[in-house]
Amino acid sequence: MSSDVLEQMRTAFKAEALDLLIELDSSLLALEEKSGDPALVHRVFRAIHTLKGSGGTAGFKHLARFTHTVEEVFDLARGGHLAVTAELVDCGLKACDVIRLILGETADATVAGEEDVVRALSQLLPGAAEYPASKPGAAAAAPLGQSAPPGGATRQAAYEIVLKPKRRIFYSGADPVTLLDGLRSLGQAHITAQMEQVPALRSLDPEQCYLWWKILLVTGAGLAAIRDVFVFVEEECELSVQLLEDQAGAVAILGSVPPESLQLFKAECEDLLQQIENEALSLEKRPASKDSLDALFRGVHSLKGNAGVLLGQVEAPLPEDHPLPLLHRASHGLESLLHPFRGADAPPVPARTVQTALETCDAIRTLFGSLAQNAAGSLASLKLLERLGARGDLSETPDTVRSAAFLNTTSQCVETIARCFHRLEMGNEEKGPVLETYRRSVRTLSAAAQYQKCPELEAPLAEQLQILDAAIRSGAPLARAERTSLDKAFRSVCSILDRLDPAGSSPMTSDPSNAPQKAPADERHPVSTSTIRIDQEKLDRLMRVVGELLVARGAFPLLVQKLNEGSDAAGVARDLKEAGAAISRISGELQTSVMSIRMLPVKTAFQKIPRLVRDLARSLGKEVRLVIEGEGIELDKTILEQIGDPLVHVIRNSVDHGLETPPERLAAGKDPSGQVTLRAAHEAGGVVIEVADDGRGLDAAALKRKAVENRLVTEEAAAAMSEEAAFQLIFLPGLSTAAKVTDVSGRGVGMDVVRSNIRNLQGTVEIRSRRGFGTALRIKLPTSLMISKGILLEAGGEEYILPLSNICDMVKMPRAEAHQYRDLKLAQVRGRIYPIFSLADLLGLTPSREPDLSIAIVEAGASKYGLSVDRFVTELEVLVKPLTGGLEKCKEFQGAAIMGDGRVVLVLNALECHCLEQTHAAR
Amino acid sequence: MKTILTVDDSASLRQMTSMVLRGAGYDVIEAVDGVDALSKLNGRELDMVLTDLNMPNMDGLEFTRRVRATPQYKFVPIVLLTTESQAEKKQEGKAAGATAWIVKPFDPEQLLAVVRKVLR
Amino acid sequence: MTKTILIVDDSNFVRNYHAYILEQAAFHVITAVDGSDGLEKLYRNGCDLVLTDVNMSNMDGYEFIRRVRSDQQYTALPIIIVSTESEAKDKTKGFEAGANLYLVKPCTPETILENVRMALLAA
Repeated sequence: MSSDVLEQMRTAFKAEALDLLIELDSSLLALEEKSGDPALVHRVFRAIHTLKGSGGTAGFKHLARFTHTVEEVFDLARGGHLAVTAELVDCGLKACDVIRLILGETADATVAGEEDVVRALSQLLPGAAEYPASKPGAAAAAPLGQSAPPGGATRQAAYEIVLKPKRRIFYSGADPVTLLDGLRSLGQAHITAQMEQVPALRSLDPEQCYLWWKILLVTGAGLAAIRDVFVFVEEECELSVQLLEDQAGAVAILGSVPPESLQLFKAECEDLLQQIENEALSLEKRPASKDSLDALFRGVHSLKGNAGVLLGQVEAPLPEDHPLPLLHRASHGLESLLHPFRGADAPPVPARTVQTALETCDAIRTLFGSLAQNAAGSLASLKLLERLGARGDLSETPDTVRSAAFLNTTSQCVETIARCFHRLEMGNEEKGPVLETYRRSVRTLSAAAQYQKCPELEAPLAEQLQILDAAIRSGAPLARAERTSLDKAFRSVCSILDRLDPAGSSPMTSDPSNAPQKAPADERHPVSTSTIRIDQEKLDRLMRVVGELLVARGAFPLLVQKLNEGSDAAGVARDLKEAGAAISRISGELQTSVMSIRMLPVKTAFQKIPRLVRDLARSLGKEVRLVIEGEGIELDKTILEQIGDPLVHVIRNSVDHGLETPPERLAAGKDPSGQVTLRAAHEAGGVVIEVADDGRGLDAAALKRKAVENRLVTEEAAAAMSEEAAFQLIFLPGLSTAAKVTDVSGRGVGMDVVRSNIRNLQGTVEIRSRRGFGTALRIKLPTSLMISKGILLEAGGEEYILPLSNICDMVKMPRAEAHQYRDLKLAQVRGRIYPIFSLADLLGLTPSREPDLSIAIVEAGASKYGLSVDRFVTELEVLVKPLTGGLEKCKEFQGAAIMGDGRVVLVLNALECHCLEQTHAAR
Repeated sequence: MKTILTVDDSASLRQMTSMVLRGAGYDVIEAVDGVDALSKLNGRELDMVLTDLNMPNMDGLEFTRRVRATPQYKFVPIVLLTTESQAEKKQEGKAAGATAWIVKPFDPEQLLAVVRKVLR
Repeated sequence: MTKTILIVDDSNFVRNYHAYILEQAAFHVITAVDGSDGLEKLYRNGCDLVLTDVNMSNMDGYEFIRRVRSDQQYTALPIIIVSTESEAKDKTKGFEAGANLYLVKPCTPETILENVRMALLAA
């Protein structure tokens, strides 16, 4: 409960209390005149009663306690058990004064005169009431004990609850499902509905409750809390709550296994038991039947497996004689008993063994019965288990799972590799598969090394991997030298592993997220992005804003009430305006908060790049330095998820085609190792991701030639093209399918896909390059897809929205300052000349003839142009919804936005307006 | 959003109850007594009734009986607000068709605890 | 990018249990009832890691792994065997068939998760 609401309540109560006191005063005075008038006594009683009830609710506990005493006295008077005397009225009047004082107090302190009044009142009572005897008071007697049970016991206990609602329970307004939910909220509840009383559909009355439930509940809340769930339905239900006998076992199993899982286990084991018994019986008839034996064996095996898995899930250790471990051991014993007879040349199963199998089945069934009933229970003969030779050799719990996983993996891999060496020595089998197994183990080892943060393992592992890769690729047998280096590297791995003591020294932590941050090139955590991990601070802020919103909402009912009561309109209007302003401020904050939750650092998309670059560089024989900047810049989660693939593509192109080989670089007078820079930065309401290399750069002439060859542009257009414009040809779809052209460095591969991916994100991409010095690709993205800022404008008498992220500049200039040059209108804006297009013309509307031109300078990829409109209206924030139902083909619009007043306004896509302009120009 | 009808002759208590319930995201209809409440019900969708017992015109018990007798509301949870913690009042309330009760004075948390216990 | 795990096991219970553990940890899970079903699911849906039993009817785990590994595109797919068999010769058989890791049932949820996370690094 927010303290604001409480404060409002206190204020509201005080106002009413003062009215009630006046009422009380006047009734008491009238009572002094007309002693004993029952109607007056009643009025006095009601006033005090209301003061007590409302006061307690508003948090005036002290007042409630005091008025309770006063009320008791007047209740007697009301019932005629106490004479209305002058003393009584006098006490009442004094009580009024005390109440006024209490209302003025903020602390829960006794006020002047209070004790006198109480004493005087108690003397009036037949059996002198004590004060402040603080009988726990009505509040404490309320059946609401949701708190922990006495003693604050948190020990888990297992209960069996049987809940049989009366048929008519629904007519009391109660719903058994809420009761079951109540139990679920206390702990792990295994609920089984009992359906045998449900009649045939024909005679079923839907308003009756036929179901009843058995619930096994593990909770630390205690019996009182369980009873409290049913406090309102005691009369409508038959209820029994009992502690289960085998507490330890029941708590262990029911408390840690999800109900669905246990249900599934029971159902499957039921089937398996049936199968086992059937097969054991048919084996008794035909002891030589391998089919029966195999089926029996598989059944027992599955039973053992299931019990084992369930055991693994149980957190607390189970007692030795609990049915579950016994079940596991019994099936394990039976399995070993049957195993010797399974081979093709094994003897038939002796009758004695079949008998034991059948007995074991019986025992297992008994065990299972008690387990299925309440996950606990009494126990069958341990002698049988002895006969089966079953040992309690079940799962050992490792100190830390993580280091256990690491040790398990490394020892498995080391063994496997050792065996591979052996197989290679023997030389009597094909080497390929052996090398594959070897390589797989090395990879697994290197995963384990990363996982446990053992960087010292990396070098020897990488060395082996390199030799194995080469050997597998070439298919040639290992040379003597290679064999020796493999052996040496492997030995060094073994000795490093030996040095790591079982506790897992080296810089190891139990939680990967706490691990010290290492150089980005070494970092490769598996990132799961389907969930969002939210900064606690962001969440707290959101909660606070939501709280404010709730409080602000509280103002409206009061205003409605004022209006209904006919308060003066101007005053209400003022209040309404204030309330509106508060809501709009809060919703603004709410938006920012929610948006910030969707924002993630670009690091999540950059993470995989270092490894990519390293692998690429190695396979291409290049030396590459990767520089990453601005990892902390945040982008919307959706955008981040979708930018990954284009980014990989672009980086690959940079390393593969952009950078030269070390000899080429040396020949060009450059550092032999090339540099690729991946940089994120804020820019004009969006984020720019730049991938730059210091490689050979693009060849504009070659690009033009290629484009003309593929008939993507005319020869004239190509000739007129600036170098910068020529670079953008790389994004044309046709160019990418062309065979690799060395002097264009094949950079076109897939760039059209990159561009369309980025456009789908409302982003733009442009390329800059300088021959011999390198190439830079700039991807400009909005920070969020959901909400964007835009300019509301008018063109040709219609309203449109232009996203702010596309706008570089906005100017107003006299019409005369735009010059017509051939069929192009040009204007100079801040020292630069731009082609100007009228939006109305582009959209086929009639532009207005304003004396001044309103121009937005718009960025579309590499080029900028001016868009002239009738006028700019205002800047606003809009939620852009994509166009659907065929309208999505109108590429000049990226969507539509709904305005505050409900109108729909189209949102322009500056990029595609650009294309309209190009088609116009082409005509 | 769940709708709760709160019936109480004390304006401040009504207002406070509404404030708490609205604050917890419920929709609230207010009525000053049983007669007023019945007229405000008038076939509306309703998820719960919260009524005082001691009211002029038509008291809480009678009101509870009337609500239960209306086919549309025969399964609606009815919670009694009562200062009387005596068992017989609860029995009477139960007999009239009440689902649960809250003993006044109660604090907002207690009110919400009962509401949540009764409402799905 | 959610990782997809293929669980191959003939026990409905074990399948669901492992799926439950992995889904709790935000993995995407597909399941198959035996080796041949596993192959079909793998080819139909693809996956980032396989968790397989060995003792299965129809096509056992070893054969399943051998078939997966025989396909060039799956040489690096992490495969973990989860089996009740704990003897060294079973493990050897598993590794030679092409498994990356071998876990002995029963394992705790943490063991499953930690090994899956680790093996994913080997992809």
